[in-house]
Amino acid sequence: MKRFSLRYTLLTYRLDQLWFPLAFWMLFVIIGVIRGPEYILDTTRAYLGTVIPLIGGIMGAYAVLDDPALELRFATPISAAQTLFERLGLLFLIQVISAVSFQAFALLMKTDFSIFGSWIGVQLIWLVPTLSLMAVGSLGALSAAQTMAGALLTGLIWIVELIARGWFAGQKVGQYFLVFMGALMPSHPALHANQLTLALLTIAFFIISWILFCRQERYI
Amino acid sequence: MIEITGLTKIYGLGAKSVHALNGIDLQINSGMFGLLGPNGAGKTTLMRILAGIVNPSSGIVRIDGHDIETEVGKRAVKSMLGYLPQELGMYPELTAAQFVDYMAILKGLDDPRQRARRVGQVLEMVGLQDSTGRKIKGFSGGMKRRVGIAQALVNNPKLLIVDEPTAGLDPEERIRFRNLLVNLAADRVVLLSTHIVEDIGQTCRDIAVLSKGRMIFRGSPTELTQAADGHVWSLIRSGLEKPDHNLTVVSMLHLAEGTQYRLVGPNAEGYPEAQPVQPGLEDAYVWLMKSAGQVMDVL
Repeated sequence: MKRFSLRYTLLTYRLDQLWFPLAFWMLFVIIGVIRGPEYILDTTRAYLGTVIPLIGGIMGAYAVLDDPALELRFATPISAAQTLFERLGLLFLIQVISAVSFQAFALLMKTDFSIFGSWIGVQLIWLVPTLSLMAVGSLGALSAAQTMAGALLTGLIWIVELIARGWFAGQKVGQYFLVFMGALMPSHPALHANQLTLALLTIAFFIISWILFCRQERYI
Repeated sequence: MIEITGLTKIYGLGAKSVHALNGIDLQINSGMFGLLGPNGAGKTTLMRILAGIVNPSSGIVRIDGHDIETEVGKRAVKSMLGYLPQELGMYPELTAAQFVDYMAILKGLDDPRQRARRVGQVLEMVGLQDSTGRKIKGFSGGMKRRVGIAQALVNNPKLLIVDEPTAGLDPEERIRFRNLLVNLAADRVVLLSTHIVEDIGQTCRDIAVLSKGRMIFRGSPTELTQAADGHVWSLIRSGLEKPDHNLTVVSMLHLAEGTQYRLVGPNAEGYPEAQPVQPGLEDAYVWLMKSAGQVMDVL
């Protein structure tokens, strides 16, 4: 039994939440056009490396618990892992579409991505922080059993790390936890270790989220 | 079908903990079973435990031989369950047919043709065959409840749990809903939880009454009514002062000769003019609560 329908996963998604990523996407396209090719690299890495992760984190906080039929869902035999995967997967897909389409726009504006290394390196500048903040958002929401808590936690980490990025990058331990390193400091010597640490943390956060979500009674 | 032994549920820790259920022992077989009790008695907690959503703190719950404590048992129970929660949340942008279809998929009905047939059947059962294509956001409270029962029935459940299903429905819809539940109980267990005494009296042969997390009565509505024999009186008084003497006013009616009170209590010695009357189920419920020490502030 598959107990899954992509059609209904899409139909039950809060479509009004799509305005949030779409509005930022359009804003950065406009900024890119106004500032012109000279600044397109800065605009692109700001959008890919900082804005998409923030949007992913905030939406991650709302993805699972912001479901009007959660109690009915809990009474069906589908597993907590499937619900998490469905909801966060769809959200991730939205971030992928945003990132890929913006890269296409950036290429049209003749952006030179060479400072990030290979094609994979370019993708890692948004993939790693986006998944990290999505994990933070969902973990925050599920541990507090409140969507707002996840969104606040994401916003707090985002603003602190963005303001104090220099301090984080210079710290022995802090350098591994700077989520924007790939986009803002692509030549930092600890970049790969940073991305590996964030990836492992992301996996750990998603596993904890799953364990928390198995305790359904906390969320009704 | 359902065996509950020593079931306890405690929310919170330490001094702030709340005993929602306290040592419940209950056996429920086929047919319609009513669970009655005031708000906060623990009915919803019990329903949620039986639906596999809330975990018991201690005790054993077996449904059709499956232990609800284990993940395997929980999944097995959910596969044969139809559940209508007290606070029914739905996706407002879906049509009635889409919503029931989606729930059918989540419950494991994979074959699209079979599913479409079943969705049509259950929507017809609840009288929504003409509104299948309408979005839920345009439905009245009663229609939403009917969609709720349709989704609960779509997997043809052996066990149907309905929590306060008639709350907020108009009298006509309540009657229709009660009749539907009675029909459904012909070949499955239907567990009806409510604080509306009338709903239970009209539909269930077997009931339990919960109060403050404890089961204070188990038997038939007739037995509950019999227990109140000799504890219900009618009294007509001309003054404005309400009767007291440890009597609960169940109803009052203004007549030309004064106000007629229906009273429930241990005795009416303070009012020699009070006439004993045959108790109804509502009187019996009030008497039961009164004798269980539950504060009844009816009027």
